[in-house]
Amino acid sequence: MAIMVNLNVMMAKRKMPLGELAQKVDITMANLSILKNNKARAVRFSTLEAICKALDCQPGDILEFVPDGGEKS
Amino acid sequence: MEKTAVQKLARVLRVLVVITFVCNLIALFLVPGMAAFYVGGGGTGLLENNSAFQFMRFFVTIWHPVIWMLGATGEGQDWVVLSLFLLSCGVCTAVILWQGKRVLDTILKGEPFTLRNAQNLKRASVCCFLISTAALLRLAWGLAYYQSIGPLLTYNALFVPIFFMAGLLCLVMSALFRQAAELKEDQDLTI
Repeated sequence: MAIMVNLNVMMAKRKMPLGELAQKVDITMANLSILKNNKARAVRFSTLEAICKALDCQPGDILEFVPDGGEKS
Repeated sequence: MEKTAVQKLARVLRVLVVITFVCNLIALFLVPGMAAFYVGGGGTGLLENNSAFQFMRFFVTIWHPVIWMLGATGEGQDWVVLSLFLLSCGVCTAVILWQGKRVLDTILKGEPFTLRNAQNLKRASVCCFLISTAALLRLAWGLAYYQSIGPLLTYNALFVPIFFMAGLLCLVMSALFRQAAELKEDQDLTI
């Protein structure tokens, strides 16, 4: 998929483990893992809002558009 | 967890399908014998004058390959054709019933919208088309063998369009389940 989710980077910057983020965002660790590993098909705005609030960041900090066949920046 | 109304209905349907499947298998075994009775004009003499053991022995013996070869090369061609037709239809209907049971199992589990169900329905549609083809072949054979339009006026002629339509319906259902499985996957992977 062309939209990459860079949760790892923000979680490392904020020093927040996966379990704690899952609890703050109110989704399961399994679902957060799906999101982190770029297996998700879609993200709800409510989930995106909760993640940005928990990590104190902008959507652009965790979402990146990579054209098909292009390299990740 | 309490079962929904659909799951309760599915449980009843599953029991009926399993019973029908078992009856189908028993009927498959009896096909050559019953076809011999039909072609031979009823076979009431056999029923009246022989014991149950001899009756059963008849149904077992008629499966012998030599009897089939004699029938195919001699005057028993109509018996051979009828038996082969009914056996092929019986095998196909057994497969259709088994696929139906598998679909009902998934409904009972609460997970009906899967690619596996789409494959089950596709198999059922293939079996329906096979029955329709077998009926068409038997119809063509009957027209040539009896040299009359009599075979066109039998139940055999109805099998052709009925099972063809059933096959098309199963294909439509298969496509529906495949689409539903894809939509469910999209839904499940929406975080």
